[in-house]
Amino acid sequence: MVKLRILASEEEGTLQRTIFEFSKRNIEIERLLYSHEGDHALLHITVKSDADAIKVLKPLRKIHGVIEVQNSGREEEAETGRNRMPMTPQEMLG
Amino acid sequence: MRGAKVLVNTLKEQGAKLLFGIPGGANLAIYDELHESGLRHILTRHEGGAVHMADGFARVTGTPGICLGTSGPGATNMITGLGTAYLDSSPVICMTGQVSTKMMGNDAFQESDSFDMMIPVTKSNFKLRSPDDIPAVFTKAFAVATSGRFGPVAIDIPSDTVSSEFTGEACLPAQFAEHVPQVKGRIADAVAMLNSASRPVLLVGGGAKWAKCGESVVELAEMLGAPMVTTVMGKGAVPEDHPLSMGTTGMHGRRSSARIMEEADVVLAVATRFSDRTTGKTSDFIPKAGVIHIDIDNAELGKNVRNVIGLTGDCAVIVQTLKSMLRNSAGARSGWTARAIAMKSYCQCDFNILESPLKPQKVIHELSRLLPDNAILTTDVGQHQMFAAHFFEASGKRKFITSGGLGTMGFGLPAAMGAKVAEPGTKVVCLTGDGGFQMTFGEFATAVENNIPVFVVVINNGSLGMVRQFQKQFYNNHLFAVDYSKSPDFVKFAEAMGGAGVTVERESEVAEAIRAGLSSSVPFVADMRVDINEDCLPMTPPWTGRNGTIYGRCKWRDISDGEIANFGK
Ligand SMILES: Cc1ncc(C[n+]2csc(CCOP(=O)(O)OP(=O)(O)O)c2C)c(N)n1
Ligand SMILES: [Mg+2]
Repeated sequence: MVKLRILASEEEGTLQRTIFEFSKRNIEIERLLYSHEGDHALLHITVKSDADAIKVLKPLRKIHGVIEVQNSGREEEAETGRNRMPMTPQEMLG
Repeated sequence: MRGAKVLVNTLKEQGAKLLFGIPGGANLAIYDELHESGLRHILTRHEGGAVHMADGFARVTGTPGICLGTSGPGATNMITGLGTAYLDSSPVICMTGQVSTKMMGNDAFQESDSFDMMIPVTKSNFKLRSPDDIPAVFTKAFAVATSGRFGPVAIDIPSDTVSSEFTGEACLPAQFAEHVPQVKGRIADAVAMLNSASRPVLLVGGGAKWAKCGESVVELAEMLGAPMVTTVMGKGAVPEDHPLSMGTTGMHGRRSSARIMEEADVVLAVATRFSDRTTGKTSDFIPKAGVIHIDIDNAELGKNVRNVIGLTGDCAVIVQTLKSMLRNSAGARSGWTARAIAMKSYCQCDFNILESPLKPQKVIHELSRLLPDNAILTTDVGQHQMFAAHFFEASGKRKFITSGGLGTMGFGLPAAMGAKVAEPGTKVVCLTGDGGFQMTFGEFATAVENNIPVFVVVINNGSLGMVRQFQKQFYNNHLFAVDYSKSPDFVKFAEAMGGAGVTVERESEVAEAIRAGLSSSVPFVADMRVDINEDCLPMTPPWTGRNGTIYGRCKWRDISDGEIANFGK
């Protein structure tokens, strides 16, 4: 599992567009955590592999409204169990 | 002041002179303001046509093309046009009406979630929440569309945001100037690689047209003695009558272009995304070359071709920088240059085919011969498009406009109209198929009504030719659902719309028909009745690689290794 940390403006559409960048590339989102950092939205998105993370990283950085994307590297399975407020994209969007 | 008035004023501040669209309940307040705005409005027959026209306008001017539709079906009709503009990086500004903010979410009449639907087919998109957002949102939209890698931007406009009063403040355009990427990358390594190359090749993509760097690319090629190959999207970026210009490569490209790339030891790729239609089977693609990849979009570097020296930034700036740092080394590569030129001249096959029934190649031959030096050729999608990509000579200042990314049938005619509106003094020809023409030919009436005298050349094979070719070649000749047993008489159609036209069945009539079309003061159709059985060849299916090339009439079918080795000696 690899976790991406995405800091974005809360402008409408930025979050949807972020999620679409994954589905467009057929990359499954394993886990999605949403919180705030100051005036910004903070997303932690976990994907299966390094290859998935590399594929989506640069396109995410291009999104108007996305401020920063970091690959937080490989995530320990135990650290992010499903008990930590998991949110599917569908839940988050609707 | 009403929101709609602020909207129109903001469009004007952004330099807008005209827009394409169709009114409806949800955008009527905007139309009410357009009424006396002085902006030219072209009323299209379909919103899809409006987007393609805006796209054609943008591709010719390099500035945003603007279109406007209503909510619901107006907006959904615009999706294909946006997808087309998105994949070809064209700066279209698309405005859609929306039900009022109070009604949204109630499945109101003509409500669609246009905003969310348009996310994947736009570079960015916005939704107005209040009239006070208008100046900032529009200024931002234009900035996003025309900065970095260009792309379409959509704005969804709930009716109450334009019908109610604006109480906000004007905004300064500079506030939203988008970030212009600085030149980044290992320039010195790229220079060293090019200086030491024995067999350099330039691969020029569609981005070179947006960056308007064709002339510098030619100068760079001359300094290096390097042949230039273009992708389909790059066609026209450099003049194809230049001795170093090899023509297009890719699935239906020239064998000489593919061959010179196979032999290259360094490929300098300028603003191309290495689409699968360009590379074909990746293991066959530039197997011996180190690659330097220049692109304004950092996300393209390493996406389809790995292990490149990547240079990000404005391609015009990067090419200039390379020129200033490279030494003129053409003399040292005269053997390589001669080899490329010899290969190209071998590839100049005679496609002035006089057979009956008429062959599409003959039509392209005559277009190459008769179109003015600065003509604009738009195409639709299918065999005729690939025939044109291969055989039409985009010499001099000719422009070639095509839907290379999304491959959208129905693009050709409205794109030609957008181009003609942008450059009324230039001859604009739309090369289309009988299938693609019928997808958007309602816009021919728009062309007549608005005095946009485009010349439509229909390569009429009575068939969805390219699909037919695939069924023939790869599906055991199971021809199904590809032939039109009956099509309208396109000349009568043109006349009924108020235009003119001529039907051509013999090769001897082609030139005269083209002359008539070029001199027509009304929109004109030349219905070229061509051989249904003429496939668009050569073709290299991406799954076979070059060993699976189907040559057809292509001379490379019979060439020996010895002859190839002797090119340029
Ligand atoms: C909107 C759309 N639908 C379907 C296709 C698939 N398609 C690609 S080429 C082609 C045939 C085009 O026929 P025509 O316009 O007559 O051109 P021809 O190939 O005969 O020259 C089709 C159906 C497409 N590219 N675009
Ligand atoms: Mg056809």
